[in-house]
This record gives sequence, structure tokens and C-alpha cells, in this order.
Amino acid sequence: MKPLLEVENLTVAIQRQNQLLYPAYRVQFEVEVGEFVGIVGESGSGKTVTILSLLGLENFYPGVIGGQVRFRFRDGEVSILDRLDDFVRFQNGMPHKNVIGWRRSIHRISRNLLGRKVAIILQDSQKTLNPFLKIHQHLREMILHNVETARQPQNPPGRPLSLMSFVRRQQPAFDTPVSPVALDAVQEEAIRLLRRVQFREPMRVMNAYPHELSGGMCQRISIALALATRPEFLVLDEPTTGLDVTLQASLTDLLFEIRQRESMSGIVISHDLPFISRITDRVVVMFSGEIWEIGPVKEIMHPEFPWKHPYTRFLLQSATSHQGARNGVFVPRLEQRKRKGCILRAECPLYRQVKKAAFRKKCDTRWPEFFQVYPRHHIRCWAFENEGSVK
Amino acid sequence: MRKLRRLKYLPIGAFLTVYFLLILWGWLDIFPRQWREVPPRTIVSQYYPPSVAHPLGIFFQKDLLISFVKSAPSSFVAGTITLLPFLVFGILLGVGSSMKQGSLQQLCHRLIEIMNAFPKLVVLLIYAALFGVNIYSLLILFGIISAPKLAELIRGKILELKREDFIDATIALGLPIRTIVFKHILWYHGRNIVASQIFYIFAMAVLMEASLSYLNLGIRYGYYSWGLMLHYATSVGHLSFFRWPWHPDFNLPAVLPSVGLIGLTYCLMYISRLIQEREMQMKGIL
Amino acid sequence: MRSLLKIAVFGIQVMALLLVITAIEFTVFVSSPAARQEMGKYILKYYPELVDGDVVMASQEVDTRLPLMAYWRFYFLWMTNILKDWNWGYSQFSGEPLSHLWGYPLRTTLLLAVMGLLFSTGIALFLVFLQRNWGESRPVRWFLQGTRFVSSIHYIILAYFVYYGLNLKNPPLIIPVLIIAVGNGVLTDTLDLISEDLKNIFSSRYYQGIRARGSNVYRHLAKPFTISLVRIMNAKFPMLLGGTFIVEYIMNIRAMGLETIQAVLQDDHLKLLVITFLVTIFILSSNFFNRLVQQKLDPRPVIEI
Ligand code: SF4
Repeated sequence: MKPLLEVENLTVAIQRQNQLLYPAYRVQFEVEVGEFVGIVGESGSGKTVTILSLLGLENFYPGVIGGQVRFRFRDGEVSILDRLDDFVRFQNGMPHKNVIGWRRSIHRISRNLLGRKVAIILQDSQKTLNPFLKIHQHLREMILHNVETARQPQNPPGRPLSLMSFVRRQQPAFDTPVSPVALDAVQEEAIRLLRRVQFREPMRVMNAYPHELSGGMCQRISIALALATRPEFLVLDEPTTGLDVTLQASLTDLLFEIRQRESMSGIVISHDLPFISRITDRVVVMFSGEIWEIGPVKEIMHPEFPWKHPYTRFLLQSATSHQGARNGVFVPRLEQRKRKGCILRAECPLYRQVKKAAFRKKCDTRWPEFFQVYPRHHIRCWAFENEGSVK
Repeated sequence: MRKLRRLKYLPIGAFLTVYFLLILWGWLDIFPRQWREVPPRTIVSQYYPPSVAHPLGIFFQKDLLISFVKSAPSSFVAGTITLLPFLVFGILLGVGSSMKQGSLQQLCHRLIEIMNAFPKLVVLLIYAALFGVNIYSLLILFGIISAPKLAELIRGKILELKREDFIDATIALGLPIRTIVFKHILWYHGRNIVASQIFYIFAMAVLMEASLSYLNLGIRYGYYSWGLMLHYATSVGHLSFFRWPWHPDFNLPAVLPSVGLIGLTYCLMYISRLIQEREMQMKGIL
Repeated sequence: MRSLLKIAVFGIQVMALLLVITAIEFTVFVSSPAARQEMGKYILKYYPELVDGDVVMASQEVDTRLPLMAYWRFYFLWMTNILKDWNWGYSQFSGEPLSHLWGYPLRTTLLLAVMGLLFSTGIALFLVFLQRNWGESRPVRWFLQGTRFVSSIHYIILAYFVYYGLNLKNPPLIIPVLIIAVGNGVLTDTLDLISEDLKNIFSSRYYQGIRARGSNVYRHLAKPFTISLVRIMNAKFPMLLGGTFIVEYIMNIRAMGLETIQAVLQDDHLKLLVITFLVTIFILSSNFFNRLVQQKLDPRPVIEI
């Protein structure tokens, strides 16, 4: 079976005063149907930028300059970056992007995708909700996106809902209070969604503005908004950051349950390694805008699994103890991609331990390639050229 | 193609060079003697078309070229005079209104609001009517009452930077507050704003000087100004724009100052805009 | 009932504010020797009973600067006259009643300023739309540069060109409205302010959230954009009001601007005072409208810094 999402050579650039920096460079991975992929890495390693530019949500210049992103949904295939080459041209190694044309093109594609088949929960949800609208207006809009959703069993018998009845009942953009008497199908659906994300008093929440709620509440509301459209593909960007521990646990349970029940696929970004290991099937390790290791979660997260990239090892160690600090600190940075050799070698313990000159020369002169060490487990490091022969 | 792109700024550079040469010429006051010799005043015609002795003609007992050249310095002086109170008041009000909560901050804030609310031309008109003063003090007043624009920009910048970490770091380093505000905020981060506002207010001052001298307010005898030239040019009925330039009734006395004013204000506004765009680019906003 | 009470309290507050501001303006007027002289003449002519009787006016050269108390008594008398029978006094130059300023002149000036504001905002919105959608194409860029050039032309020159150049002795009001909306850098300034606000909205987190959720962008941005438009219009209003004054003078429209400049040239200080009051009222109401819109539309808590 073909994967649901294929990302090939996705390159994202940002221009800072005649310099070109790459927050994501030739990123390549895929997500199978019914699979959740986690992306881990320190902050600043390009995780968020990668998924934002998958869907044309990045807001800096020049943004995506190359690559291919392909979704295969149940009812058809969508290639997002197909027309990118029409808008980007290179002159003396610097990209020039026709931002206006590109924006128009990507909006046209993503309009039918975002909020319908793909749902994204961005980080820091309190700021991503519109501060000028109440929660019930957000929910109502998302539910109306997908009329089919509202026709599910919650609809009382004898009262069929047509598209026109929704249009007639649609509220104006300026706020009208929700009274408990005027419950229609949309509101029932909204309440059901809010109950689903563990709100005890949905009516109170519905009449509030985002700034009147706490960060955790907004996070749960974002999840409810994402679930409202029954997406096939879910993207979660740091869903547990900034929440207290009990909330984190209940949120993890909630997401796990949703995952099991609705058979969705998706991407999860987090630095929270226990959360990642609970909820995902495969893990991508990113550093400085590049993927260094990709493999099943059980192998990557297992502390005694033999083949492991030095950076992954460092990540795991620093999550569990303070050992990580002893092996040097990896500092992710935006790279200009001009230097030769592996960028990790200054901090890499493997490089420092090994005395073999031939191996060190490779690290010094050539950019490491991917090597398969196990089925579906790839590592970008010269040390694994012969499946972990160097120890 | 690259050469063409560089040529983009040529007209503006050329105009400004000519303008500065005119200022120099006007200040040095070197003109051939025959330009200064004008025929006696008659009731019939205030305007004599160009001739050999007077290359641009005579208008109201004055050689047109002399009045055009001598008006250039007065527009420059108008801009410069406005600039100083504008900068001083703008920076003081901006820094004052972004301080900690207190009576001084409240006062600065209210002052900015009140000064912003009144139309500047009306204030100047009433001031001139009440206190009957010369054009320079009116321009100084203009500089003061347009200071809130700069003050608001500086206030926004300071408040924006206050939230960032490096200001906390400088405070933690123990630097005095005035060093932080004037060096780290105003000089390192705010100089583009100030520079673009300087060009903008210069253009506005040139326009305001033209307006005031057009209305004949606060002008002494012997004052040369493009606005004044326009004022006189409107009073001669038979002249018109819509003739060929060599026609004796072509309105040269109005065209000359118009060209000067339009070119000058456009150049200044263009430069101001250019600096603003630079600032935007540095912020990374598309 | 409570809302009625609120409205009543609010009305009283506005009246008190107006009285305080007009009193301050009157103080500024009286502090000028020239105004004291001219208004002294006026008081001696119309209200001789306010003066103790030892000042007698003989000719123009006599010093008619009265003691300060006389001016204040005059101020209160004048105010009561206005409130009682709408008598705003008489012009010192021609003797006509000043309440006529409330008729045609006020209407015309307001019409010019407000229409100018709407036109300049409308044109600027259109230009922003062009810039955002076709800003890369060369003709559009040239067109935008051309409008910037036209906008940098001074009111005097634009109005002069139309009025004397086209020889329109009685132009329809649309022409001064267009001049006011475009000239003196008003259009450029409005354009820049609007596009900067739009940029701020488009680079905000919640816009990203709206896009990510695939919501209707127009519906979501209606409120913030209205708020910023009203704010910009309120900020531009004084400048346009000043612009109407000079355009009226050049195009010879008998409205407040012409009256003001004539009053300045004729030393008609009472008329100037009335005009100052009127301008104050305009500006207060425009500010009030702005604040009302912000309060009604913006649910976010006000951050006092
Ligand atoms: S390629 Fe060399 S330097 Fe880079 S991570 Fe592997 S061992 Fe370390």
C-alpha cells in the first residue's frame, strides 16, 4: 500500500541580509496510512518550519524553495508543491520567489485541504484562536465546514438537516449570545465535541473569548476544533508544552484514545519523549534542519538498542539524566550549507573516540549519507556505513 | 539590466544635486547686473515674457530666475528650522510616554493625544492671528505640534523592545537607564525610524512653508518663497498652464515653483519610504 | 432605565468636557494682546454694561484692553446667550450674526472633510488590493509609483491647476473632495498605514491559526480590519480638515476655511473663537466615535502600560 504522505527533498530557506539560511534542508520522510510519526529535536532544529511549509503556512521570505509533498487520501491524490518551479528562479545561487503568485497558488490548493482532510493544531493555541470571536463561533464554523459530520447519529430523528437549513441558521460574524434554549444540531455537536475533550461545563466555555480561558483549555479547544471536521490526517505541534503534568497525562490519554478510535494518521512534534513514545509508531530525529535518524519508535527509544545515532543517544540521555551534558552540548543552528564534512563532528563523541584515520577523514570531508541499519531504520552517519561495524 | 536598476535612483539624485546647487547659488547671491535691472512698474502688465536680458522674464518687478533661485534656500531653511524642535520634542515625548506608570508618563501621553487631535494648519492660522509673528516662529511651532508622530513611533519601538530579552540582559548588566534608552534602543534599533521621519517632516515643512507664504502669513518684505511666487502667479488672470511654453501667456511664474515644490517633496517622501522599507525588510515582514 | 441614566451621565460629561476645553481656548485667546484689544472693542460696542464705565471709546487708536474680569464676565454672558437663544455673537468686521457659520459653511466643510476621508480610504484600499494581488507585475508597480507621485503634490498646486488651469469657476464638490483625498501626501500616508496594519495582521499568530484551520479569512478578519481602518481614519481626520481649509480658500468655496482665513486677515477674533470651538467639537466627536468602535468591537482587555 502506498503511503498517505510523501515528503521529498523539502527545502525551506530564510533570507537574512544577503545570507541564505536553511531551517529545513532536503527533508525526506513518509507517513503510512494509520500511522503516527513523531518528529523530535531541540527547539530551533526546524521541526515546526517543516510541517508549516508542508502546507504553505510559513510566513517568511522566501519560504519553500524546493521539494515535493504528496498526500494520498481515500478519494484522490493531492500534490502541494507541484507548481513551485513556476515561482522560484535561482540567480547567482540566490532564490527569487514570486511571493504573490505563490501565495495565490498555494491558497487555492490548501483551501480544500486544511480544515477538511488535514487538521493542524499549532503550538501555543491561545494565540492561534481568533481573539475577536467567541469559542462557539469558532466551533460552529468548523462544524459547518463538514455538514456530513453534523448528520451523524446526534441529529434527532424527524428533523433532517439540509445544507440550506445550515445556511439559514448561520450566525452573523458579530457575536450573538448562545442561550440554552436555542439548541440546534450544530450546537449539540459542539457540546458533544467539548465534552469529548473533557470540559465539564461546555456552555460556559462556548460563551467565552479565547483570552478568558487558560492555556490548557485553549489547547483542548483546538483539539476539539481539529476533531470537528473528522480529518484523515492530523498534525500536532507541541501539544503538551506549557501544560501542567496532570493535564499532560489526560491529554495523552485523550489523544491515544482518539487515535485508536478514529484510525487517523498524523505527525506529532514534541520534545516530550515519553509522550512521543506512547503515541507514535515511528520517529524522525531532526537537528539543524536536517533528518539524522528515522526508524520505529521502539528501536529509537529503547536505551539498549545497539545502533543509534550519536545525537539521538545524546537526546535520550539528556531526557533521562544529566549525563548528556558530559558528552558535550549540541547547539542547533541555521546553516548556510557551505562547509565540508559533518556539522556534528565538533561535538560528536563517536568522532572523538575513534582513532581510525580513514573514518575520521570521511567525517571531515564528506556530508554523511543515510545507511540502513535495520528494516525501516536509517541513520545518517559515516559510522554506520557497514551496519554498525565501528563500535 | 543591472545598470538600468542602478539608474532607478538617478532622477532623484539629479534633482537633489540641482536643489543643493540652487541653495548655494541663492546664498552666494551672485547674479549678473542686467538681471537686476527691471523696467518701471506699469499697471497693464505684471509679467514680461523671457528676453535676452532676462532669461525667464520679469514678474512683479523682479527677475523670475532670481526669485526662483533665492526661494530655494528659504525652503531649505524652513525644513531645517522645523527639524530641531521636532526631533527634541518627539524624542522627549516618546521616551517620557513609554516610561513607568506615573504622572509624568500620563502627562506626556495626554499631550501626545491632544496635539495629535488638532489640525496643524488651523492651529498655525489661529496662532498667527493672535500673536502676529514671523514665518520662522510659525515653523518652529509646526515642528513642535508635529512631534507626536515621531513620539508615537518611538513609544511603539520602546514598548516592543521592552518585552525582549536583551533589554533585560542590559538591565541585569547594570547599565544606566539613559544608556539603554538612548544607545541600545534609539540608536541601535530606532535610527531608521528617526531617519525616515526626518525626511518626511522635511517634506511636510516645505509644504507648510509654501502654504503659509501662499496665505501671506508672517512674511516680511523681501522674503522669497515658492509659495509666495504661486500666490502672485494666481493673481494674474491672463496667464494659463494650457499654452505652449513659448507662448507669451504661458504661466511660467506658476510652473517654476510648482516644479520645485513637487520635485522636492516627492524626492524627500521617496527617500523616507525607502528607509521605511529597509526597516520592514530587516524585521523580516513580507 | 439604566441605559437612559448612562446616556444622561455621558451627555453631562461631554458637556462638561466641552465647557472646560472652550474655557481653556478662551484663556489662550485672552492672553494675546491683539485679541484683547479687538475683543475689548467688541465688548464696549455690544455689552458696555460689563465695563465699570471709566473706559470710553473715542477712536480706533484708543487702547481698548479691558481688565481681565470683564472678559470672563463676557464669556459667561456669551455662553448663556448661546445656550438660551443660539446667539453666537456678531462678526466684528461685517456685523453679521455668527450663527450662520452653523449653516452652509459648516455643512460644506464637514462634507468635504468626511467625503475626502472616505475617498482617500477607498482609493487606498483599492491600491492595497492591487499591491497585494498584482504587486509583482510591472504596469501595476508603475501605476502605484504614479499615484505616489501625484499624491506628493501640494494642495495649492493641485487646486490651482484645477481651478485656474481648467478655468472652472463653479466646480462641482467632487473636485475639491478628490484634491483633498489625494494631495499633500494624504493618500500615500493612508496607503502606508493600511498596508502596514495588514502586514501586522497577516504575520500574526491568529492569522496563521485561521489559515491552518481552513476558516473563512474574510469573516475572521472583518473585525480587526474594521478596527484598524477606523483608527487610521480618525488619525487622518485632522489633517484632512486642515486640507479643506486651504483648498476652500483657493477654490473660493464659501465655507469654514475661507471664513477662517478672512477672519485672520481681518482681525475678526470672535469669529476665530467660534471657529476654534467648532473644530474642537468635530475632533472630539471623531475621537469619541473611534473610541466607541474600539470598545464595541475589540473584546480583548485593554493593556495599560
Ligand atoms: S558522520 Fe562522523 S561526525 Fe557526523 S555524526 Fe557520524 S560519526 Fe559523528
